[in-house]
Amino acid sequence: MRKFLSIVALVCAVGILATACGGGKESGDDTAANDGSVEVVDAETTENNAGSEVADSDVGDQDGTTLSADADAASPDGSQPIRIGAMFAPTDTLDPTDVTTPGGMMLLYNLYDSLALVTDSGLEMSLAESITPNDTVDEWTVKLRPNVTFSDGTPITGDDVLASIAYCASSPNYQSILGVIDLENSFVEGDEILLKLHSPTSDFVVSSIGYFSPIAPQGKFTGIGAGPYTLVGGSPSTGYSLKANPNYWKGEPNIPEINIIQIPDSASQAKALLANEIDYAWGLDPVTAQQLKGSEEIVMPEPTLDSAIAKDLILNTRVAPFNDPEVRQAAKLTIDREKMVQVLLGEAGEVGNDVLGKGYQDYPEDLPQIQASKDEASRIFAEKGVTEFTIVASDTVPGMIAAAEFLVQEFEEVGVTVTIEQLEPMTFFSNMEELYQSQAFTFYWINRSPLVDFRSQAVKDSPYNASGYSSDNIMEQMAIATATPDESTRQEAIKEICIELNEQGGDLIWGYQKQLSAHRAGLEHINSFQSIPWLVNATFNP
Amino acid sequence: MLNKLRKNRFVKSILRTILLCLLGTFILFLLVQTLPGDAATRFVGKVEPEALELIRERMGLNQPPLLRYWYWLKNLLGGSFGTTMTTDLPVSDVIRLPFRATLIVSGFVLVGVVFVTLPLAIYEGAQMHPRRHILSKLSLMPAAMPEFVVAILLLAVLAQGAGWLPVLSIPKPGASLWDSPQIFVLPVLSLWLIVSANLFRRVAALVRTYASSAYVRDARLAGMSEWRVIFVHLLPSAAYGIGQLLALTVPYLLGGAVVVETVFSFPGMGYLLVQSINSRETTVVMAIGLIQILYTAVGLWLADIAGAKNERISQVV
Repeated sequence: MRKFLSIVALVCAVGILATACGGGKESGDDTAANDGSVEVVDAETTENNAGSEVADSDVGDQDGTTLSADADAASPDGSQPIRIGAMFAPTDTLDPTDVTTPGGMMLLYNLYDSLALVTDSGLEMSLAESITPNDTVDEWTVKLRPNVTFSDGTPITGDDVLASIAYCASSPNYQSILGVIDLENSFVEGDEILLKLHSPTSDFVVSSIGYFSPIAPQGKFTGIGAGPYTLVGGSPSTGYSLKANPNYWKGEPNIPEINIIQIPDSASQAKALLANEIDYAWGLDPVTAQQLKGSEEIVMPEPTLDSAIAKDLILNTRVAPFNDPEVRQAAKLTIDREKMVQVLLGEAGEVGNDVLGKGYQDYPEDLPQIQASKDEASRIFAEKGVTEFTIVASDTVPGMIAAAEFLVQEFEEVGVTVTIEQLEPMTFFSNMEELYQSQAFTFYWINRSPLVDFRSQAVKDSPYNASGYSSDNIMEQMAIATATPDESTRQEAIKEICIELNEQGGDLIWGYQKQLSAHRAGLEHINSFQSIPWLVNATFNP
Repeated sequence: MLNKLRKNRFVKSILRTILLCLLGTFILFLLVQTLPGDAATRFVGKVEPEALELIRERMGLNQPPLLRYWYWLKNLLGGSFGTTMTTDLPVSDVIRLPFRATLIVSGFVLVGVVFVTLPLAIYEGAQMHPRRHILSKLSLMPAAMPEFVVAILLLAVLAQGAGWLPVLSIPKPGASLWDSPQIFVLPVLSLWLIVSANLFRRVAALVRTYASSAYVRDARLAGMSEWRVIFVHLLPSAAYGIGQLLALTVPYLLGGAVVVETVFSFPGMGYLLVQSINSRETTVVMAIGLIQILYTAVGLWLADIAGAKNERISQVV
């Protein structure tokens, strides 16, 4: 018996010793360091620079995972704390140049403010009071709002702005957005920053600064920013807790506290919403969203095209058969886009017209919609002797292979046999040179304003010009559109590019998958910024 | 002389464990390399080939795999798991909370196994009448089910149906794991059911073998109480066999947590492992792999010791 007990004790000792290691705080470092893991601090004792006491968020009173709304934490207008589900990566940090996950982006958008923001309501000045170009739109003067401070009370200076831009521009994830700024020749003059550009860019604010230009003290992103919320604590394993920033230039946000909870997938978000464990689920897939429709307590906002996923079949103009514009035209006439969108995307879908930027201000709404004409397509394919081709497909975003399979059926109806060659999503974008030798392939874009997307989609030397299609006319119109300060001239140039891409381009953008979200009743005035919920103006009274 | 023999055996066991760790981590490293893509492609998505190469260089992915394994090993010998490939965070910081979370779950499951499963299995195994083997028959059900089915069933009944437990087993952002003890219930219960179902049947069968031996029968015929038969006569012989079976479940407590943690979104090591494999974070995968290999090695070592003793006893019995 003694032997039995000693063996059991030995085995248990391993487990119990190990379990003992599990005690104490798990939140990591003592200070809000750049490792993405921060300790809960007592908001009650924190004072801002101006001497006013920070509102007590009293997060400690919340009950475990349910994180129930705490009456003490309600804002003066009665708004309650909110719990939002989002995915983080274990390696997420507080540095915007590192983060690519939705949860990480949401956290950083709330911590660090930008000079300007392009939200779903349009362009808004944020830390900048004004951003004005010179006559040749290659120099932009940023005037900072007076008396704006970071959340720790330190005033924001022009040097902070330049250092932050320089830091972000050095990252591969932001290089394409901020690389247009000639940092060597940009400088600070009083409360103004003169940003010199490498080339004239009329949509500089929308395409660069407004995309996200996070500002941190001396360009060091350690969790201190000038955003609407400040960090209370958290880690990528559990999510983060934020409280309203009383120093925010627009005034303290209505919702006093945001808890971004680490939830990895759409189905779990829906389950948590139904069980009242979160208040807001976003980035839902259409099937999950459908399941939430029956609940009376849950509101599903009308999805928008802001940052929707544009689903594309690239007809590669570098190689046969799609190096022939007529064959491209036949392919475009083959697809019944409405049916495809209805079957594959359901209510989250919007029919595409081979041009990006739908729903944005500069998109020409009068662009004629391409309609399916199978007889005409069949005739052209027969005339050109096209009987088969291959589509390289990969689920780089969910549903791309399913879309390719749908396309196979569509092309079969016009007498063309299509073969699908599947690629691993992980390696899809690292084999672009190989991909650019295939006849056709699935591709996706994030829908942004036309001019921003055309820089990738339609410019001759762009590495992301997936179809390989461009022309002198497109380049000329791009030059006009980017160099003119006149809005109508820019829109005319954009329209001309759209028409050419629509008629002759190699992109077959058949549909847009809009961002779906759902929330508990009582959440109002939500905006979105780069498809991430933006709750600065929101109120929450469940 | 006997002490020297024991010492030698102990040294050999340590050497064998080190060899197992080296071999195990090397195979794991090679397996991660065979996966399509790498941390760089996963990190940047669409990017120009030149930029991708620069990122690969920064992450050290342009070096030959053997050299990278050597660097990892060198770091380990220096007492460090290295840093994450994408964001240069110390791996020990990344795995700290998940490691603790999984250890807590494993600890609770182990306590449940020792104080509930084993006593029940021993008691049932000691019963000679087949009609009294009800629990063995009942345990067939969870034993036959895949782990994720057990977890999903518990989730549906206890969380979504009855509403007694949270759907998500996630602690409050920034708070200690102990601040929300309810998050442990579903992962612990699932893992305990899965582990117990298999262990129960094996322990009961083992005890049954000893219970049917002549000396136990004689003890019963001598009119000893059932408790005395079990504790004084039966258990001392069966102890090492039971210990061996128990020790073999230790590695499973960490390995089996992968599925359970994924179902409940529990921020443990298994869940972190899945995420790290998806993002090709080799250093994190290697650290978790090494911990699991060590755990397995210790479990097997204990099982070997108990097994050797059990073999000697069973030959006598």
